[in-house]
Amino acid sequence: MKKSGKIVVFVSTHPKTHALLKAAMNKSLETGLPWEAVYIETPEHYLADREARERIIRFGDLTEKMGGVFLQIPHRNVLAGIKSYINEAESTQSPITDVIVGESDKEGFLAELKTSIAEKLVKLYHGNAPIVQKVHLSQRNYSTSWFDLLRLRDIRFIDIFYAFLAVGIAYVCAETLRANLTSIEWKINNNNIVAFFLIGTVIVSLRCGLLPGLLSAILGFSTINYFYISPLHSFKIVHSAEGVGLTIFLVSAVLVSILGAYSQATRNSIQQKEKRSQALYQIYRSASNATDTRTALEILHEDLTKFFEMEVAFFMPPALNPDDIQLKYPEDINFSENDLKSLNLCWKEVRTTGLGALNHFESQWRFEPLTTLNSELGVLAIKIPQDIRLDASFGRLVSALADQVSAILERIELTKMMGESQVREEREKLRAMLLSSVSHDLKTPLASIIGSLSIYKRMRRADRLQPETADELTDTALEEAQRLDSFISNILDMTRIESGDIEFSQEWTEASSVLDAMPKRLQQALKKNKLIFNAPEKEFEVFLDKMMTEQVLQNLIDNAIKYSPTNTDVHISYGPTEQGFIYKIRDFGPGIPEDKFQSVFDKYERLKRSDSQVAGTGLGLAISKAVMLAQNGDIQISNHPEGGAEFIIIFPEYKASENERSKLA
Amino acid sequence: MSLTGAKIVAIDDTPSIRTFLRLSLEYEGAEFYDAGTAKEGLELCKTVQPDLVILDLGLPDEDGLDVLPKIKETQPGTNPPVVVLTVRKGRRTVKDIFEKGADSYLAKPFMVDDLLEIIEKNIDTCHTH
Repeated sequence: MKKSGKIVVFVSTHPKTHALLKAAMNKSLETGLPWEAVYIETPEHYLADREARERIIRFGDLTEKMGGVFLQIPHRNVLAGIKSYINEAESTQSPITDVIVGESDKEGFLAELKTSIAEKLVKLYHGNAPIVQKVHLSQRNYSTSWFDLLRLRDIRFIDIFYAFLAVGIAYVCAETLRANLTSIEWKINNNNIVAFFLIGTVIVSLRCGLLPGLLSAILGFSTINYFYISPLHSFKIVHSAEGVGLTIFLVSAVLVSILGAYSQATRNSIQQKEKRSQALYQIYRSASNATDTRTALEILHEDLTKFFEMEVAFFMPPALNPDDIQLKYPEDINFSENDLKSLNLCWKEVRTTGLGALNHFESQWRFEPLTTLNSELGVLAIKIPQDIRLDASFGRLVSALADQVSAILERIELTKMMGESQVREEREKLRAMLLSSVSHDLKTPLASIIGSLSIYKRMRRADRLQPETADELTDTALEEAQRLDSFISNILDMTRIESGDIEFSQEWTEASSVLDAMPKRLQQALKKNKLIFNAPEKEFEVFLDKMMTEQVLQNLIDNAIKYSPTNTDVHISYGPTEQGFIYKIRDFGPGIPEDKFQSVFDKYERLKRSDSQVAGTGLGLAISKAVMLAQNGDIQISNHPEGGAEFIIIFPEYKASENERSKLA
Repeated sequence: MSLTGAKIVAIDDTPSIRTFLRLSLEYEGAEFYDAGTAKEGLELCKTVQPDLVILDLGLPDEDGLDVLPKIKETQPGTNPPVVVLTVRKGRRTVKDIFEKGADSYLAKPFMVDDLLEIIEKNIDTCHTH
């Protein structure tokens, strides 16, 4: 029978704690047992910085999102708290079967000696329930050692040469000294030549590092022994005093070269750090302009490839399955099965895998998780050439870069989310404006109709209605009813055009025929203005939809009349031009501001203005544009140099009329 | 009817509404003046010194809500009553209308009888004050 139990993960304020949470969740999926995350809250919690405390809150949210339970348990000491929690659970119905604890990097020599809580727990429960699993929270795979600092792998031939050169110069100096001293004085000063060789070793180790320094120490030792220690021209040492002196020289030369090399290595590493932080900054700068993930990855890929001189790839989870991971950029890299094993481990357990890490499965790639405080974004993969030895600083650099890349990607994601919510908000606003605009456009004419008819009735009742007043009132009501009708038609047209319900049937049509009905249709509006037609000399045929084109012309002319001062004309000219066959409608009104040329055709433009405009405009223009585009034509707007607005509609296909000829035939 | 001699200014950008307002108010014996924009309306208030102002909120040059206090300023002593006519019906708008100093509010469309009743009431209150 399967024992009931639970998985407990003990978390701390470590920034990479979500790796622990993920490990617990995976374990829970594997075993089917519930899991909880426990934070032992010691008095130190309140001494921690705010960020760390906020992290705990965030981890709590994350745990709940991932299907776990988050608990904060106060205790004076972390280890004691963990132990008492495990022991208490033992006597309940669901004892703890698995414990997951994190183990962070140890920095420095002293920390190495201290046993971590994770290690203590492992030791404590060794062989007993619960099973304790350690999860490394950062790369512990490389620690900085003297060996790394001394950069032994960078030895160049020239450095070996310098070692020889230094010893040679010291020898020349010693010989020069000997040539200039009497033999008695030389005997007294014999031991001081050691100083020349020591100086040589200091210079070489400072300049060229440890190995050349040591080499020069040994060379110096041998040279002194051979040339200046009796018996001369032999490596034998007879006098023990001289032997002691020589040994002291060797020891001090070795120490000097180690110290010199160490200081040189420190200097180098500072320089390197500076260079790397500049590179990090550069990468951040160049990618920070990207507005979508794809572009950012492209830029990062280029920068990182250049920076490492290695192949770089980015993996991210596909949108539909956030647990999976797939190659995102570049798209054409082949990975072996072992590479993919490393990759999946990296993604699943949120830790560095691949070459140089604990589980590398013989992979040439190194996989670094891309994580931020809030989420896991993907995996950064770097293919490491075989001749490169990885050291701690490389591991750190890759981690730092991964963090940088994550920050950039997260920022883009957040910006996108904000943008989307803004668009949604804007759309909502437009919807609200459309509603208020439509209600205004419908209610204003109704107000006139109801007002006019109610005063008509009131006067009739009192039997004081004059015939002229009656006419004026009924005319007003009629006019407004027609306006209402045209507005409703416009809304319906727009809806039908947008939904594709209107089918256009274009055919060759006499150019003038679409204007024939205008004076009659616009009779009501034309009380104070006149239409002037300018026809071309010859008759043309234009390929158009007659009914819809008439609608456009009516809208445009009606619009022109609305903006025309009393007793001015509206000019309608038409004819062939380079652009196609055009109809031009010009009024003598105030014209249209140039910055509004595009927006007057926007169906929402009407909404952005106060609800006071001449009723029905705006939508009419939007409909006209839609109709013209549906006929492969266009609509343009300009201001006439002598004042007034000019609307032009253009049809691309036209020909000279064959009317007469076909009649004859 | 008791509007005889009362000076009434209407500010509304819809000509047909001005037309029936003129017909109905002149019929009741009022002196009627009208304007299509806020600017013209304010000028008119200054010169005419009306007993009552009818104001539409959606004016082409300025929002009626902003015009309201300015109308009151044109006659600091007498403080003419202002009746707001608008299609806006939102609770918030109605609250704003009264906060800005309107005396009455009527949603469009409306029956002329209702408007006349409101106008008479306002002019009466004005006189009793």
